[in-house]
Amino acid sequence: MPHRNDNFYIRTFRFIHCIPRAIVVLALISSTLTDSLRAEEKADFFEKKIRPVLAIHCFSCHGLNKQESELRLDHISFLTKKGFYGNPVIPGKPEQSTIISAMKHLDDLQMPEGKPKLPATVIADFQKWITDGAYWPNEPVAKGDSSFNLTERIERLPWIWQHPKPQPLPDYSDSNWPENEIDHFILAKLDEHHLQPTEFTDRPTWYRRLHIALLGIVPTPKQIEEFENDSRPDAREIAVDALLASPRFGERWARHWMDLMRYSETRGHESDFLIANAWHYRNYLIDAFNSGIPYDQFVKEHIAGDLLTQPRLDPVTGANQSVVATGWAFLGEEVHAPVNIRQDECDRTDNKIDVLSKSFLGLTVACARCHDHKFDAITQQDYYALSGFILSSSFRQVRFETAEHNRNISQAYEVAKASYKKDLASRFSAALTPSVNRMREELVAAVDVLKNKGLQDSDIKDQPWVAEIRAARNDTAHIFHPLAIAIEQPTQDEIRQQLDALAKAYEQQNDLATAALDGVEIIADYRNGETDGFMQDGYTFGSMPERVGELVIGSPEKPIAGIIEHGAAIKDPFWDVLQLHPANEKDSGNLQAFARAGRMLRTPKTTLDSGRIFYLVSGAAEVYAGADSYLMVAGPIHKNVRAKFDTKRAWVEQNLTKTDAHRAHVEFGAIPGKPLRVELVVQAEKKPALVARPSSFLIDACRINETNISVALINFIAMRTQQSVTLLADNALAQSDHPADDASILNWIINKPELFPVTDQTKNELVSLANEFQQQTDKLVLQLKIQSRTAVSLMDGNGVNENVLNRGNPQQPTHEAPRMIPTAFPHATPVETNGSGRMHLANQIVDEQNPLTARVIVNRVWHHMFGQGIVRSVDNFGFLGQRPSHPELLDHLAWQFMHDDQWDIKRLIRRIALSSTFRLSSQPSSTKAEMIDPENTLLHRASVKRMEAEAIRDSVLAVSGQLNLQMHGAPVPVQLTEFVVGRGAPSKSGPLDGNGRRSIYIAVRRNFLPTLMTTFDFPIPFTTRGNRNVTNVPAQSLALMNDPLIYQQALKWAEAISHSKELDTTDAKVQEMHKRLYGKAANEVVINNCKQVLQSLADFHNTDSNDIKVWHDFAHALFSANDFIYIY
Amino acid sequence: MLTPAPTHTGMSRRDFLRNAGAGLGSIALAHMLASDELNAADGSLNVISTDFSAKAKSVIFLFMEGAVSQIDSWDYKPDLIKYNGKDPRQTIGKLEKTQFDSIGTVLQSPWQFKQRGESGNWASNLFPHIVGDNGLQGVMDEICIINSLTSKFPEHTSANYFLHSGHGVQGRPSMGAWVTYGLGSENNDLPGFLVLNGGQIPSGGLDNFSSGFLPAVYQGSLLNANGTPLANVNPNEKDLQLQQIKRGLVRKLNAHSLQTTGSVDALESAIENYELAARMQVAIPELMDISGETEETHNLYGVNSKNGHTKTFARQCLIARRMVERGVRFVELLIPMTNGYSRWDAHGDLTGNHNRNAAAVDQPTAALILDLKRRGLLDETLIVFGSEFGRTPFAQGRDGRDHNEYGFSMWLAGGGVKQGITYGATDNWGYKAVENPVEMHDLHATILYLLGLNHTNLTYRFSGRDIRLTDVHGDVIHDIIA
Repeated sequence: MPHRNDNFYIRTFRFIHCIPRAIVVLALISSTLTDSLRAEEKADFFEKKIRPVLAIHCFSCHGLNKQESELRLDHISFLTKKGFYGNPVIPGKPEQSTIISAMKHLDDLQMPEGKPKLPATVIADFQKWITDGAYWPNEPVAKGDSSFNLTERIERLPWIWQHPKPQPLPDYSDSNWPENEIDHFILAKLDEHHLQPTEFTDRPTWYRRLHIALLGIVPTPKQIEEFENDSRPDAREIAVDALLASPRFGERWARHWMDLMRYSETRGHESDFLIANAWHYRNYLIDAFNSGIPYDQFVKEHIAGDLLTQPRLDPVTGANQSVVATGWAFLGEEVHAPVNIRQDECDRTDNKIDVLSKSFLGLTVACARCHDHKFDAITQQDYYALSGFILSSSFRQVRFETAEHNRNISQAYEVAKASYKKDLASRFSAALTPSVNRMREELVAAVDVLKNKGLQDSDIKDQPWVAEIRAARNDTAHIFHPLAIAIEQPTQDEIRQQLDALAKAYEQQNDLATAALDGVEIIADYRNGETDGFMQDGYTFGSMPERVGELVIGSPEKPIAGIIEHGAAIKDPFWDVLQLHPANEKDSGNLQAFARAGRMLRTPKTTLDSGRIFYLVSGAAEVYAGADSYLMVAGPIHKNVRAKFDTKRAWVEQNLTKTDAHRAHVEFGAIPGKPLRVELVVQAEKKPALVARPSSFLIDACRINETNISVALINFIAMRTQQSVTLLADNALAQSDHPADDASILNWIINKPELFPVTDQTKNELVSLANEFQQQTDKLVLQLKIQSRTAVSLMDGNGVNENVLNRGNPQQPTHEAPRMIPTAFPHATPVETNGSGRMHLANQIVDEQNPLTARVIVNRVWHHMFGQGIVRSVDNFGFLGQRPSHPELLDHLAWQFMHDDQWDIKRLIRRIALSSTFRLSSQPSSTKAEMIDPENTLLHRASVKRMEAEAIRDSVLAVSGQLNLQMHGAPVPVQLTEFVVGRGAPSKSGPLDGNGRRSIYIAVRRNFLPTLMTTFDFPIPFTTRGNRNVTNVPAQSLALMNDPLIYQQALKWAEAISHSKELDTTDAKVQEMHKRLYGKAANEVVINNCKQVLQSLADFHNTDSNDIKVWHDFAHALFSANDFIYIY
Repeated sequence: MLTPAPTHTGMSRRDFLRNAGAGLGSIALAHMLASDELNAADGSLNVISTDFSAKAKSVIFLFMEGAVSQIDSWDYKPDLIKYNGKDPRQTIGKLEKTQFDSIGTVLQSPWQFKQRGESGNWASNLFPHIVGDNGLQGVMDEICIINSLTSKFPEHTSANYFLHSGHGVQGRPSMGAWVTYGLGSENNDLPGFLVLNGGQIPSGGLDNFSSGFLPAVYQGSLLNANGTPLANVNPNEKDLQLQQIKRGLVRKLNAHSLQTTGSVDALESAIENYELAARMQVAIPELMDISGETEETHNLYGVNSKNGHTKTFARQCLIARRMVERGVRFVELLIPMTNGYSRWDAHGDLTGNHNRNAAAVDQPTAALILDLKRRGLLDETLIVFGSEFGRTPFAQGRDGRDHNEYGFSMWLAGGGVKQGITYGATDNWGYKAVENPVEMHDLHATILYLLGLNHTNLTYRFSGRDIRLTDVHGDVIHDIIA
């Protein structure tokens, strides 16, 4: 022990002077042992016990960004330096380290400033750490990255940080060519390059192109002919509007959005667990695109749909649509048994930030997880500032179908409840006046009787006041107890002595009750009706926690059930009737049976120190602790995030130490038919004692100092009772100095009608009030929507800022990053709210001052219409993305989109579809054009596109006549084959043809994607994918040649064709099929080719050309030709 | 080092699609050839370094999913015998958190260790054919054992992704995809990255063989060892003449459409693909048909073994040889399902589990090396045998072992690797790598090196960043290269 000297022992002794000497010796021995801690364990201890505490409690004032009192605590070199208050840390000498005295509040310097002392164990950890030499890993002092300069970064790509403005229309060469403003920009750019746009395409090709772009299915020959024959000048407008109005539109464009949200209905990973009810989000998207809700509203709903004061309701069902949008956050991959739960949380959060920033902002913020962005104006702090929004919210299954309807009923119910409470209280208290007024006389008389020695029990049979005092003799909590003691004493002196002793006992008990909460950290306190931090899913716990002194309405048999003595969040059985729809999917893992939806109380999220959580509760609940927001609850080591209790009023523990989580919140799921009261949720080293606090009036009574103490006691009791009754009458119990004492007096009165009789008339009045209330309640229950489905959604929590993690390492938190949109945004301001602040973020994303939101979505729409964005890297507008080919056009369109189009995507599509640019032929115009613009960046022609996987499959079904137009509903199971295999496979295999449903309705199971879809580049749903691969591989040819679905549908098609009466000739049949699949008429050469093949097929099958086999083979072969899956 | 995505380069779209369309050409190679021009154009592109020559042409990865126990196979630890039954916290010291957190006593290996072959490398008798027990020939002098592998993930899925793609989550290209992207395939009728499925699809599913953000042409094609080998490879038309009639129609339609639309790259490539697909309908069944192999070969591999799982893996190993003969670049073998989904994941019944799995893979694996060697193919074929992590030296419960990512073993053979050596070491317990620790990234860097690829240059631009198999890590382990 090289650092120790004599002083050490002296100081140590002084420091622990209250501990017996033997323990001091033991302590010294054990500290010798700890000296031999291996370096590895020291590192472990430091990262687990020291650094997080410093980061959470100290760095915000004494860290990289701020150094109050010129003190920094984020590196050992600062900690050991002498400052204003001495050395914060002297390795080996905790007693000389000012950080310890400050933590212990020994001197004026008390830290954390203005906050309660940190738990004793934490202080002990710091002492141990310093004693062991104050280990700190060998790491450099954190610096604001000197190479990162925000202004410089913004100037590197100033365009993306300036909001779009309307652009002057450029001059161009051919005034007849442009159809609308888009064309001005396109033509002007072609002029610059001395290029001319190619010819317009023919009408059938344009129509097929439009039809697939808008609906994702090939058009019918009839549709094509109708358009071809429509000579009205606005035929194109009519065609575009008709397609935009089709319900198929939403099914097509929702799928584009699902690529961004890495949509899946399972969590992937080893067992591919179900994300219960995820598909409501898919339905939400289809409806949102079909009903044309403005994009700014759409974005707001995604970020904060649960927080809108006026959510969007389904006009027919009244279901809350806005809240369903927030489900995207939970559609990512999740690990079912992570060993490091905090690392896992960081990974999950990272994925959410990646999806959010790419999809809405076209920025790769996730690149700044470990360091400031290497190329863009995004700091590491920006990344963690966004993480805070995610940390501040949690997962829930929301009763979206009924929540808004039931909200209105809940309000009516709360109003009725409050009014009946008030009425009952005033009637009852008024009726008590005569008996309370008589109380003094009754007590005097009773005391006289009691003083008469030799009194028999039979003597007091009809004397309730006498009986009550006598009973109070052995009930120390009784209001009469001091009196009962006093009247037994022969002299005033002896009374004095007895009462003094009693007062002392009461005071001791009072101290014990106070001490029970010493050193605990309160996570949620529902005792005082505080609404701050009172969060619930549903309305089960009323509009606020019930305060002490609130009257509880009983039944008609007992109209007043009592007065609340312990404030709590109390479950109201009114809501017991709620049910989930029987077909509602259950959460995976151990959570599946936890029906929390609509009856859940949620505490604020807290930082875990001891990891032992205690609830002061009574009744029953199923509890889920969101330990580092871990949800899967299927792994063996994290099952203790779940708990259950059914108890009388008691402290109940949920031990989270094994999870090694850093933060947690707690959710109490109420159980129908069982009561639940939650008073306090705390974190502590050990279970707090449950000590009843004696009434203050008992102490006051014992301290009465009068000549005749008994008389004074009687006066005091009568006065105090009177006071309580008056408070009840005035509905002012909550304002009492000691509301719990008043409540206990009133409960005593309520339960002693023999002492405090009321008239029959009053009784009847009370009963009829209770009856009325019951009837009103019954009526309201009838109006409730009882059964609901649930959707995945965000639930707002308390605001939690994430710490910037040194090099992204969750073990190394540094200073806090206040929640806000990245600082480079010109309108960035931090959040000021108790909640998550997502509403603030949403408003900043859709603010017209936001330079990226409108540009990014306009570019995405352009990408889907032309097969390439104006910015080709549709998810990345940053430095490593690509520069826009037509920046002015993009800005102009973005501005028009916000102002002229009112964020309406359909109007934007219409604008694009009706441009001359969209009408261009895909034929290369000239060798020169191909040389100058080989990638067709300038759009001198249309690009040939391949249909996406869904469009191919949906078109096959449409062509064969088997497309089932049913919308919405639960996903159709995937067909399991030799190639769709693995662990966690769904229990049921789906039909080959998916019941003919559109591809968007086929289940998206991360680990079981259908082969036909993946062959044609259906994206693996791991993060935002705005620009699908378009590969060209032999497996695609093999699929069209041999996939059983195509072969099966070819037969269906052949049957329909050969049974058709209208198609009475071979020529007619061939022509119809050609047009159906390829969208254009076959010329004579093609028809002859087809007829020859039909003949060869007939010869091969040794049959005539009417045979279904012939037409089956013919139809099947047609699917393999390029003209089907390519769009010209 | 920046190698932008092909579509972003000055390379013409047509060239790109032609390469991709053939499905088997090498985009990265095309970059190398075109690189001078590109450098001149924007200065942002560097040539993939070719300053070392390839030792191996192809890789066969025998993936022992579920995690073979290193201390029961290749990593001999006498201390486990000495301290068998003791509390590991007393003997080993501080223990890391494990998946199941059910820590039993120190557990000695139920198998016997000996020094083997001329090289005298230690190995247990878990794999008698490989180590040459009971008078069998053995291949111990061919293999290079690495006893100091580490991973970052203690559970299967993330560790599988990490082993395959250098990244612990879904969505990155698998090493087979990277290799094919870098080198292309030498066979015009077969994909370059083939996964032979013996039954056990690993945790994390087919994404272990994903092309990630690379073009789909590089993704591993799953061939079933038994049953239909490849999705859609069996023609609906059993009769060749019927196939030809239908193909004739498609050819005519495509030709006609090309005339009217003009020459469009995508359409031309699709036509080539159509022809290749037709060839694959022949080439894949031919590849999978081992009836033409000699009886001696069948017996060597165990194709007629009484153990159905040995039979399956024998078929896989033999087909793997046929694949590399045909120029397939990267072959991965998935183990048969010897006992449901338990694979090598011996959380309980270590002896039964490992014996069952070893019985399936032992003889075919040894045969593969012997067969390649006698055909002169071993030098140009790199064999990798290993798991996503190892197992704990202490018991889980009574007779199992939990996951251990801190130190485990793999072995390599052929393809330019030193023969009969042991590299790296764990501590006295076989618990943590202490001497020459090898990270996954190092393994990846070394595999690429043996194939003639510099891992720092093999990049693809995605999401605004040039991404490589080894991320920002990886050192080639030159000590094991011959």
